[in-house]
Amino acid sequence: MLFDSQLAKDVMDYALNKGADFAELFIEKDDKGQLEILGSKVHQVSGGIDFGIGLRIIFDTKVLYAYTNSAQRDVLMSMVDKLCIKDQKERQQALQVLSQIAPPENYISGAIASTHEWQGPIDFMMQIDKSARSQDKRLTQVKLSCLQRLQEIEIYNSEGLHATDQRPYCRLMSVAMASENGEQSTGSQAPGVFGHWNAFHERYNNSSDLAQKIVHEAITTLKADPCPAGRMPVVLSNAFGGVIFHEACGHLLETTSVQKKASVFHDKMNQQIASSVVSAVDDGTINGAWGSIGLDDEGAPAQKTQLIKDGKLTSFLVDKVGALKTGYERTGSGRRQSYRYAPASRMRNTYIEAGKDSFDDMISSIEKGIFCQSLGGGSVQPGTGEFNFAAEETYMIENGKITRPLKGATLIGTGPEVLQEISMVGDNLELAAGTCGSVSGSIPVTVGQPPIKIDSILVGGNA
Amino acid sequence: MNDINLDPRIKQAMEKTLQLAKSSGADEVEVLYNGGEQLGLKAESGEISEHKVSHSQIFGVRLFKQHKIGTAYSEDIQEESLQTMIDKALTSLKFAEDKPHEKLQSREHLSDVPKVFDETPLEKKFEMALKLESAVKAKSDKVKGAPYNGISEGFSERASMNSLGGFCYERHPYAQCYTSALLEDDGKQAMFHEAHLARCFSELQPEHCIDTSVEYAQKLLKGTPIKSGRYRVFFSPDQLASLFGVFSKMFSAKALVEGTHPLKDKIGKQVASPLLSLTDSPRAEEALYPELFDDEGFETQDNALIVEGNLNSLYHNSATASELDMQNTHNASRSPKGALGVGSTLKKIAVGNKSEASFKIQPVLEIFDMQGLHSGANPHSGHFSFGASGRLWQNGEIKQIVKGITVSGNFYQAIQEIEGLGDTLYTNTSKSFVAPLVCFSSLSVAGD
Repeated sequence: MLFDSQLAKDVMDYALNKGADFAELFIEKDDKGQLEILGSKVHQVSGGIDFGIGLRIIFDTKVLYAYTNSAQRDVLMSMVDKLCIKDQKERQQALQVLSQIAPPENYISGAIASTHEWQGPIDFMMQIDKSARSQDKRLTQVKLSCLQRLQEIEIYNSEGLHATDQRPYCRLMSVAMASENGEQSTGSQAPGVFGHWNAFHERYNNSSDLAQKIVHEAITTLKADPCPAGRMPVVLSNAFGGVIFHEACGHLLETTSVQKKASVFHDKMNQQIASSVVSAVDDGTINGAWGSIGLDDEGAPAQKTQLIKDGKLTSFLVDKVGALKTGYERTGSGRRQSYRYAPASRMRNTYIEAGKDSFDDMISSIEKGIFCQSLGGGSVQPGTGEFNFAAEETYMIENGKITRPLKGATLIGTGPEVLQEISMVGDNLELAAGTCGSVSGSIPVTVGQPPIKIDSILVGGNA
Repeated sequence: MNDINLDPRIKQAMEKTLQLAKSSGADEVEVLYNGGEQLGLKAESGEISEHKVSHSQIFGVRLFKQHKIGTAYSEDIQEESLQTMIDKALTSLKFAEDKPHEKLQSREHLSDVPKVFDETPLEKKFEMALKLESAVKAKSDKVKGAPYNGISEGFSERASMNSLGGFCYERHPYAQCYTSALLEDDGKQAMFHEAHLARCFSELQPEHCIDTSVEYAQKLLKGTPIKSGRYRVFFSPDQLASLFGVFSKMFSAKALVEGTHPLKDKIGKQVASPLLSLTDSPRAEEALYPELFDDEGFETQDNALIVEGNLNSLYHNSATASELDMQNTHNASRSPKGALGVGSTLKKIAVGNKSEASFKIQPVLEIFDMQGLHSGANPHSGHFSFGASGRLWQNGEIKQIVKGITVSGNFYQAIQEIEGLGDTLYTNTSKSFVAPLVCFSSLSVAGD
């Protein structure tokens, strides 16, 4: 237990006494550590503990939020006073009796352990470093870092919820830098798991494979030609290729935008918003996946949510306030980076489901276009649906064949337009870890897809 | 918010941290504190939809023991948590490499920044938050919404204390208002955001945000892509600041020490057009606040990074200067959660001598909005490719509003191909970058 339950009850009761319809305390302790290898040596070890309390009070649909690092009664009561200064009215609600909710017991891959187990990560990263450096003399530097977290949360609310959760995370970031004749390039990989180091190492135990991937990308892009510019067909690789769905569609289905009618899809429920080959889900329950959660940050159990079925919009991602404002059922999607943020509807593990097309058929169907093997991040403006994302390791497709490597480029479009342009969906779905930034901060999410073909999208290459 | 002295509880906890670290075996120790308070208000559908207050504090410790350095942080300042923080820093020492160049500095500095306090009643702040939304909606019948708008105000403070007797402290109040305008016409949508930052609430200019967000969203409604090709390009002050920010690694001495500097063979050499001179100017009058000391406590000074195209200097702290046998430029940067690094203050590009009108005779693309800055650039290679919006100028007039394009190039090449600089200086929204119009002679644009 991170927090005294009687104090929680007193704070919530004090808020209800001021006429609030709902009160919630989110208590967080986040033990973080990061170790960096640079120049084949341990370069930096850092870490610490985040601790704070977020207080959310709702009057009707108006959200009041405060946070503090102090668990003292007077500080918390004073926050209630400050928040309610404009909204105070007669008491509306009684405080419900607390009943404890815990996440499913088996949702974490691996046992809870200390977050600061460093010798295993050091040995593994040194193997990657050694393997990478032995592969090509054009490599100028290799930078590796391992992040380990154990986020413990406790949530109380005035509707009687008392929830606790422990969320272990482990992620390894690796970058290779190369140089030749004044040209510079980089290759990177950043796998992550919802679990401790042991769970990570069970899933990613091949240091040579990770080394080969970062060196291959760095060397390939070093000698790449400029990417052509203009509208053209594009094949996006599986795994992190799914960033396109995350940006072009996922954010537009969050009630955080929908409730303000600031999403182009806010009035499109049960309508065809994508090509009929597209079915997509957001699933918070995948064992060990980087974006998984047992309970969301409002204490609701995580769910698997079918967002699009055969091109038709079937669900939004709904948090508590989103449900209040839109009337849709909550989907266990209320998430936040930390106690510093009020929760908002956010994605978890979001992917386009596997289809029936083969990768070879996609490539052979294109006379002139590009294949994006490795993708970077992106962003979207939900109000207009305009999105962008970065293609990093990219190849030319000419006359149905992958020919030469190209330098990276940004691809842009609008969500409603590009979802209709997806004409082929491959059969080998893969997921990849990422970080998503939005109104409630930066959170771990997974993107994913099988390879897909987009018939036409604007590629921002060299004109 | 009327007391600029450091809270005695914080000062005592800092002193306790030094004591605990010494008794735990550290040779020397530094404790860093960052804290602040904030009020935030957002409006939606004519009502205050979000009201946020916060109080934050964080301690970070840097322990020195036999040439090794350990760091850790804590957001809880109870004695037990401070000891846990020190134990973590000591544990990290087991894995750390020797850092003989990183030494503790004994500096003392108390900020003498003018005290700007504001007595505006809370009621007025609620009124402004509501007005930001309602005024945007009232500007045009094409306004579909103002989904992101509000005000925030508060203060941030930082202090450092070390076992050599060093102590530094400063506190800065600030206020911000921002809005967005989402417009729709004939099935087309366009949105534009604008913000204004000031030292206190009474200095805020909400009308500027309201007018600018609606004006630019209206322009973008008419936007169409231009033909793909190479264009002369200049950027708005905010976008130019972002572009130089993305590639600021070229000024980092820490990157040079770590072997990750993108131009490591070009220090002291010509890297840009002779027209370009750029200075890190911590005490510039255009800044929201002058930065009087860096995060090692050294008094700040101007640092001429590029002089007539020559990469003249880098951002140094005492450790990088010692390791590279170069002069410390007093650009040390450290947060409680991080290790000692280097950082910029206000960057200033020297004014040119061409009238702005002269740039707009031949076709030139002005970029006033960019997307994907966090993902579409590679600071190591210099390549960038961003989604963009703007307007095409020709014969001194706007020929076309431009939307749905990408602008691409290589930054390190583009700064060598600067065609000219304007004769007027502009400051960006966050008051961290001052520059004239900078015209790049040829960047790649993908559109139609």
